[in-house]
Amino acid sequence: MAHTCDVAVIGGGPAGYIAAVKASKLGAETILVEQDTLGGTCLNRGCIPTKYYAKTAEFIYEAKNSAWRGIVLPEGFSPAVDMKQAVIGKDKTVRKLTSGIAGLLKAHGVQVVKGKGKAVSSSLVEVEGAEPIHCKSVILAGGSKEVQLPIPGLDHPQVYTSAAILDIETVPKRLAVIGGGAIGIEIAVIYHAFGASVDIIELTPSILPFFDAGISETFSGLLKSRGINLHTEGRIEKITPEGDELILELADGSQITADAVLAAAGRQPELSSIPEHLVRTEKGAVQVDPYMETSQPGIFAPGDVNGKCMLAHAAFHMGETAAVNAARRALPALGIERQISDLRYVPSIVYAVPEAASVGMKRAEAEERFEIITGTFPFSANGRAVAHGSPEGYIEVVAEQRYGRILGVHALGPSVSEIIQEAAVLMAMEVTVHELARCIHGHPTVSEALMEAAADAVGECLHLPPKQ
Amino acid sequence: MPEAIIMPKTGMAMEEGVIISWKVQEGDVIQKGDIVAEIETDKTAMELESDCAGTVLKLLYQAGSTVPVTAPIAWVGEPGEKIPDTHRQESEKITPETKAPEPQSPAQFAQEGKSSVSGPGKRAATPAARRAAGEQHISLDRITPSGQGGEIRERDVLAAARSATPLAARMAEEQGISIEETAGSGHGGKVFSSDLPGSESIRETRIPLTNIQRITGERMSESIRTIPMVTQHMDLDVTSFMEGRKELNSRRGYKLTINDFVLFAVSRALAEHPRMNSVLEGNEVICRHEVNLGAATATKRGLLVPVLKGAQSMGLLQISQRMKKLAEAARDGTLTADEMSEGTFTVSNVGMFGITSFTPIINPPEAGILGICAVQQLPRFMNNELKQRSIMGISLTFDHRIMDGAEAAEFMQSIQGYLEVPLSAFI
Repeated sequence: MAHTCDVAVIGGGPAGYIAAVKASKLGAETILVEQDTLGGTCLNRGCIPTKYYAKTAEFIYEAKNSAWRGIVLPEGFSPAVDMKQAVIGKDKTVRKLTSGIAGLLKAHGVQVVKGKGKAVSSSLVEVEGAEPIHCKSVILAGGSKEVQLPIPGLDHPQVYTSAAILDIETVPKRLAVIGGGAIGIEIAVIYHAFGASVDIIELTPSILPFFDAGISETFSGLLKSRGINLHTEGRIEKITPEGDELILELADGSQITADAVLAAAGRQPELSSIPEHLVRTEKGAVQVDPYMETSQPGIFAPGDVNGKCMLAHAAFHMGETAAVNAARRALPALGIERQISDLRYVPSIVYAVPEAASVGMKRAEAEERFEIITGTFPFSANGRAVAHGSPEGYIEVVAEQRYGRILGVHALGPSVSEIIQEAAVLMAMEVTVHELARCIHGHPTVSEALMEAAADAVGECLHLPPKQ
Repeated sequence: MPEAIIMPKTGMAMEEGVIISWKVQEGDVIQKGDIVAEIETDKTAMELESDCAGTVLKLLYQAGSTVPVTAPIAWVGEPGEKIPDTHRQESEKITPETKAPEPQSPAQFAQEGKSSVSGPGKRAATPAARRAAGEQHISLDRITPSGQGGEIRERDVLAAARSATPLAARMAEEQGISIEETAGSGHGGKVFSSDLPGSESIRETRIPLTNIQRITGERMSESIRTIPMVTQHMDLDVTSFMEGRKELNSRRGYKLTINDFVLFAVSRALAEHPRMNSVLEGNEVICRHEVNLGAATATKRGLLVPVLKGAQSMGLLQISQRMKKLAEAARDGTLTADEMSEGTFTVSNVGMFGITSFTPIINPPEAGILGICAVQQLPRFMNNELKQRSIMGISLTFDHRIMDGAEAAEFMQSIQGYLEVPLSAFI
């Protein structure tokens, strides 16, 4: 007996499960197809488990840096991590959240079908090992997979994907991280805190190439000062096992020896839920319009699968948009208004110690399009950050000179993953630096630095010496 | 002796107030301190308490009326007591534009909407509403009144006021745009910068014209507006020409393009038809002896027309080599002003795009423009036999003030002659 519904969703990650909940909330009978555990990469293999480990890393850094507070630790104290226990704790955290999603879907009346779904048309989804689903519109939220690098030796069992490395039960002595993007840096910092000696190999001239150049540069300095080795413009030719070790040979002739390698070269859309020629793809990503609709009317593709912005929070937004438009198509009588996804103000965050966060245009991009003004506030001048013992980093506000429109905010420092939300909201609501500079912020807080940076942009920062 | 309830003066600057609604009716018995009416000043709305006790003998104004401060608005006393006859004079003080016409019932008032306006362009409104409207730069004409007497209240103004983001407000102010007249896309109609005219929104991308595109656009519009143009199409059988070109190119090892031959043919035809190589000035047609051939060239920055000067005396190879250099310069952006001026006729070739006919627009002040179209393989009858032939379309637009259709057709026939029977160039 085939299933019938209004909206069929393929994929139970951030884009898919939110789309299913939203479609159902709008009154559409909704079925979600997921072959694995609900929650997608973010919850099972990405954001959440790494945040669990990142907190552990922060504890260790804090403990190591606690003598100045007068905290007395046993002589020769060196915090170590019991990885078996850490993995159990990580899994427990993930399980709690995935079961939460199952409960959420159930509470919203979404039927979950287990199996690998594949769209045949906007009205038919086939499921391997289960009955087909007849529907009125389809939401493809297939997510993404790790980019496979064509490096010989990458298939060695001591070379881990970013998902697999989260389950290793011993801390490697020497870890080589291929890829200096957000995932690579986060895991590098985690295992460095856990006691590994870490080398990061990045193909481009700087780590965090998608961040503002100033942030990349400052972060590089910080990582180096901690003893993490950076090899930028590093191209790996091959990886050869030697005994228990792995030898990474670089194009410049140098070698890096490691006990484990993390391959974190980035992610690419997972297109296996999409039959060829059904929807238009470009550069390996499904093409969608701002309504999240593909070239095939009635088929929507939110989240990583469209490659527009491969972040869970962007996926939530796109999933919701897709659901509104899919339900609108499936149930025209409801008179649902069309919705678009505006992805201009999506924060990007690196959850390392300290954190890096960014929203809007990089300074260099902004400079190309506008006459700009910039303001910066260092955390060394922020009372709360200094008291925390985290005076590294800064917040920079890039604004259009003419109206003071905030074009980008770039931050490195304590709690900036939280502060960047304020920046994103202000930008979306078009508050300018002139207003932000005059908004009262609680004192002492780390987030004051944002207001101070805005004030600096208009030459009104009173907590910094006058500019020359 | 009846006592008056007066419109209170609640602030130094207050001159009048509006009775928003009555809380009592004539005949009601009231105590001191009872709420008798809701009134609104330019600052606030308030409830008016009675200073006296007794029976409400007379309500002097309808709800919605504007009354000067200290004027009596109601009389309270013993039932049957005669009330002083002074209020009518007082009521005359009500400002004409804000006074609600008394004879009408509130229902009539609401139905007639704008007819409640007693002066031109003026609407009944409370002072607070007027102040708010002034602050928000909103015309009272746009506002739907909710007052019982049909008057506009402050809350109506606030409901109608469009809010704008700080950025949109700054942009609107600097550019002199009225926020009030801008449809906002945000929640509750909030105006965002993308809602302002001329700004970019996520639904569309705005690409400014390049200078070249702007100038070309202006010239083309001017041309279309001022020149009575006619376009004539003709099919040329270029089969033998195409074969000859192929052979010539393979023998010489130099690639002569179709365009080179066309330019050559046009330069000769223009020399034979001077009116096509002319410019109209007042009542005179000035025929130029020099043939300066423009060749419309698409570049990244827009359409450019490099000019081949003195083409009438150039040989085919010379035309080809010179044109090649000019086209390259056009694409590289290194064309000098001199190389783009003094054209007398223009050729526009769209054949490579498969276009089979079009209507080119004259590049003023020239007399004509020739469009070159694609060469197609088509069946044609030759001596009662169907043959595969190479057919090229040409589209000539000319200025009907300078010549008529027959003259233009003769020019086309000349080109036809050169391209269909290449040997005719020797004649």
